[in-house]
Amino acid sequence: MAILEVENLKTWFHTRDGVVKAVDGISFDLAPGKILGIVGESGSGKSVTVHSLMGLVPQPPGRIEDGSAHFDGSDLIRCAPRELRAIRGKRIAMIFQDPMTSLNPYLRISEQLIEPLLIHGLAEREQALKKAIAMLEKVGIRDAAERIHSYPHEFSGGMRQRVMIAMALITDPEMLIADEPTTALDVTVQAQILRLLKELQADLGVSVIFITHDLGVIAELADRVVVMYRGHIVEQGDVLSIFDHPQHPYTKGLLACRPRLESTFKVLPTVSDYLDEMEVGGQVELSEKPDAAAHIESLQQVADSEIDENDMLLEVSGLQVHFSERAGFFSGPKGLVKAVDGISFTVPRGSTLGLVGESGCGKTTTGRAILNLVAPTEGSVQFDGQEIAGFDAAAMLPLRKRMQIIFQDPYSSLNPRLTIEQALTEPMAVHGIGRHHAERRDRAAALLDEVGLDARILRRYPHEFSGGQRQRICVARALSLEPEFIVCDEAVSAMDVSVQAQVLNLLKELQLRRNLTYIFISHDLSVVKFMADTMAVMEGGRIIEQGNAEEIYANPSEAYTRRLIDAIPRDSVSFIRERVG
Amino acid sequence: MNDLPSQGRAESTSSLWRDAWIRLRRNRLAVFGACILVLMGGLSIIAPWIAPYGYETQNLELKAVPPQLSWNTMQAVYGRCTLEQARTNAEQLGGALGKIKNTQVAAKLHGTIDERDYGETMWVSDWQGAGPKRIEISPDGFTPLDDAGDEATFLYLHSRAHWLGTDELGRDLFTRLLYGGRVSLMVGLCATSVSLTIGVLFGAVAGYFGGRTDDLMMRFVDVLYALPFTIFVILLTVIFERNIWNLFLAIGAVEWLTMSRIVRGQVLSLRQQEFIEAAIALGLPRWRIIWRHIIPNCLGPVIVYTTLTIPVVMLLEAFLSFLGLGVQPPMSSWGLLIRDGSKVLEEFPWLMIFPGSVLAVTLFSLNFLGDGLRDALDVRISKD
Repeated sequence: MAILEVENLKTWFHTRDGVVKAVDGISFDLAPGKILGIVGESGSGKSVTVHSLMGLVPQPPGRIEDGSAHFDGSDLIRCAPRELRAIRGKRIAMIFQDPMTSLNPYLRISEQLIEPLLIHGLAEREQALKKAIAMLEKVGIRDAAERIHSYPHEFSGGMRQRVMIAMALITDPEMLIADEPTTALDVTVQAQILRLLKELQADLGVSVIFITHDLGVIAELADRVVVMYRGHIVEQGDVLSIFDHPQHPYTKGLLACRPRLESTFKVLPTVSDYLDEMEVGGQVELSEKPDAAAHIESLQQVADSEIDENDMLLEVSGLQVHFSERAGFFSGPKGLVKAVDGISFTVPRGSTLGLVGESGCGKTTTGRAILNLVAPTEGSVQFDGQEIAGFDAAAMLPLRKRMQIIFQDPYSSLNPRLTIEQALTEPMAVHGIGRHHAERRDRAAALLDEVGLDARILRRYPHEFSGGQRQRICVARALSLEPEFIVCDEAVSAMDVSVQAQVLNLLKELQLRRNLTYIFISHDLSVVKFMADTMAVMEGGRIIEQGNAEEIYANPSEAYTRRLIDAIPRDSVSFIRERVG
Repeated sequence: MNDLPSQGRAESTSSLWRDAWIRLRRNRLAVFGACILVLMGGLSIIAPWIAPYGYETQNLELKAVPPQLSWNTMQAVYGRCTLEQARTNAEQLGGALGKIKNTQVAAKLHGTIDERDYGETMWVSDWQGAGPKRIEISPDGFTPLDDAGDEATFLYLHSRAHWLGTDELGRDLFTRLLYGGRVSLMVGLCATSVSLTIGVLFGAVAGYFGGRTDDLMMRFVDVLYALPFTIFVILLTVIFERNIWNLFLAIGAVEWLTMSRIVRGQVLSLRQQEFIEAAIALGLPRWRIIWRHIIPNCLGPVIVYTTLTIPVVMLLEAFLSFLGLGVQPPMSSWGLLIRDGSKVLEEFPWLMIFPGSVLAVTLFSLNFLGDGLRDALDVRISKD
């Protein structure tokens, strides 16, 4: 007997541009005490599905056209708002994606934790507090009795997500919905949270719906998997059978596009290598590409470029970046934060250095300091034999053409009020590339073509594009000055795995074609290993281990590196078989 | 993602401002607001040519007349005066007597003249402006006399409508509203432009450079905030010559403080955005980053605050004028008219209602236009 039975759920959005069938007739069951993973990329309808169950779909424009969701005798879709409120938060709890914004910064943790208990009349204040402390201990927060009186900002992202979990579970719900609860977190923190969720689930016997774009996370956690694509369920089944014998080409593509630590692909397979989409009479038909297997085979044959180990483009030695915390207008510096504390490395021309570490380890500041976006406190940065550390804006100007950066968040790295054309031609105009605007526009069109976008988009604005497309535009903008060296600062961390594979392939392809040199910064060791020739592991502002990427992965000498490797979700069939027994 | 075939040529160029202009024109409410504003501005500019009376023209006999639309209303006022006064009065009232032919005057006057009046001589002026003429009232009508006399009864024929009534001094409210619009709209335009320019630039620079620069610039703003507003303006008007332009400047120089704070806050949060860092990494000059990347992205709140500033500025002008620092009577402004009207609201409500409505309509139009501008400049609102 399933705890939740969803049948033929249809949630459509009626917008000015027409009807968007976000969820279009899906059915699935959740067995009691089990974890159901819903996997799909952004726009697949996975979040809309659970929002429909919780009555959180904004209406209008959304409308639940059809379907039912039976939870212990009540239909969540049709029941009265009062009835739904009694269930929501008490018997069905939810965890959201971003732990930084889902806690109220002005209320102590204690107040927020006991609120569900008080609202649903489950406990008096005294008891509620006791229960909250017990719950915090359960989610792994030490000294819970004291820390419960802290404010959210006193906790790190991972800790806040633990608090969110405690808050969701405090009413002993029968069902927990987790909507991408680890996507905003570092891989190491993600691993901890996944472990915690697994333990709690086994401990409390709660049924879980876990939503993610990453099949690796599913492999670690779920008992059953639902794969969604464009509002439909394309495949569902036991976790083992999905990973062992994926039937649908989309599932196959999704499985293949994750960079794996053990594989030696030089080009990542993408979903489009497997999946053919054909529009037949207004309906999109999905089928498998006939030559998919052979094509994937051929991807492994792609040769690497030759790197001359003696031709150094970048040499960094003893680099330090310290920030002073200012207390006030009249008082002097209060404290010193050593974001980067004396690091040295070299990057040969045409190669990629991977910088890997957890948030706060100084990897981003390192990238910024090399480009003089933050002033280095100490140390030397030699670019192509020239010492550039501490150059001011004027001195950096000629070098800006040669050194570029791509940022993490494709949503904030394009000016929303400039058209793509303006964004691409402006740097050229500043650096005197191209004689007149028409020439620059043609160059911009060619750049878009190079990053796999249509030149007709020049007149459009950034908000009209998806995250992956925006990141391609950012790459095109960085390339507009024809640089030799690019810092990729968590360039794919905010992306779905399927999009991540496309962007990683693009970056590799461009490197080969233009002999680019990269510093590739990421918290995800699997991505760094795919991209990088050499790798440097950072912790607390220092490099604790560096060398050939393959070797470090094979023989990590530091416990910290070991931890980073272990944090990557395992999705091998043998691992899953062992896990599900 | 790369499903569309690549097409070599791009479509023609577009830019924020041109797209905004297209979007603005599609916004009916904004266009309506703009039309009303243009109409108000236009009427104010041509006020001296279209006003039916002079803004300082008093008619003490017609104090606080309610609005009247009829062209046929006529009042005859008798009084004795010297020839010289009669001449002056008649000249002044040349307009007032206009458009009424002598014959009509005569016909109308028949009803009000009784036998007692026969034999009286009066000075009248005809509509062609031929100057005062002496006439004698007789049972047959008016008998023109020669204009050699040193004393006469002056017949004042009031025949023109006061569409919006007159004030307590017998001045035409419609005329004064037209003239008042010149001052008020100018104050709104000039002082707001001054506050907009200084505020946006100051705030953008402080927010963009941050750190010590920001500290110093913002403390300067705090100091100015701390100065009592009136003393500051008196100081400015004393240092500089007291004229209407300096008044605009003085008001603008005070009003930019809040604007700069709003802009600074916006810029501080914009600076965190990666596209600013990308612009630095691309080697764009600072002024270009501020001008093209920062300021356009602050425009939403700036426009909203600007539409809120304009009425404040207009009322400030009235306050300063009351203190004797702004425009001086008999010149008028909307703020002054409203203030005067509010004192006699119970007896002569039209003196409050009309200037108030004109100001309200102007501010509504401004808000429609402002909201339209804000939406037009927000490219994220789809271009359907």
